[in-house]
Amino acid sequence: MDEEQEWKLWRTWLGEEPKNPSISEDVVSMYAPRAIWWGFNAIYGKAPEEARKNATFQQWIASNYFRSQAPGIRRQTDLRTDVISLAALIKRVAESAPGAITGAIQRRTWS
Amino acid sequence: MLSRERFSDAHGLDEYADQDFDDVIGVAGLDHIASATPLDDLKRLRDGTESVRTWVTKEVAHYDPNKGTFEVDLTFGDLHSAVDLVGELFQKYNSLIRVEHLALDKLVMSAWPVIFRVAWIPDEESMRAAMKQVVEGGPPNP
Repeated sequence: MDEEQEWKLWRTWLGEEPKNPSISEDVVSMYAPRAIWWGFNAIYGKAPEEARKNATFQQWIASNYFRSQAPGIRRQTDLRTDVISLAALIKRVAESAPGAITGAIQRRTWS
Repeated sequence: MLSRERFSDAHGLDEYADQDFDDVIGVAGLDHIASATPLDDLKRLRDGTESVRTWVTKEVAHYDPNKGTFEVDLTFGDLHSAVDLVGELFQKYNSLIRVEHLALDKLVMSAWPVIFRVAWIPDEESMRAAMKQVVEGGPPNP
């Protein structure tokens, strides 16, 4: 792959727009649920005590939120070569920098 | 390959391109990003998300509502620190490569809290139907 192809690949991975499958879509998909989560917690915290007496539903939401966010973080920090991720992108940037020693990068990033 | 020249081209060659390039990579006057910069970023990214990655890998989620923890001290704080780190480094490389900045903390959203302004189970008949569903399980009738 020549430099122009590599540069284009990086831009494609980052995403033309958040709506397409890309790193930016994944990152927006972490921030939007977090905004909802924080909003829901603000609403829940100010809800009448009667509405908070049984916390089963709130705990279910909390668990779902956690379980949906965590895999997104793992996906974006995945260094496998067949995965489009922020970590893989940064590694490619490092490998393309002047004077980069690929073997040293491999050892450092996988250690 | 991630050079000042490429950044300036993508930037539109305006007068702030040089300063912006220096600001984003954190070092003034370089023609290319030094390999140490992305390597340090990668190490930060991997180290700063390790607890969350370990949790996902183990797929153990025993939420303790009294402590607000999921296992071995993994908290919502850890999760949100990891989200912030991913967001910060995404912004950095998106700024360098796509010359764009996404307002991640100010995403435009619908007025979703409006659903809480109305009672979801407004009367006894609805409550009986809801409890029947809860007790009997299965998919709800339309």
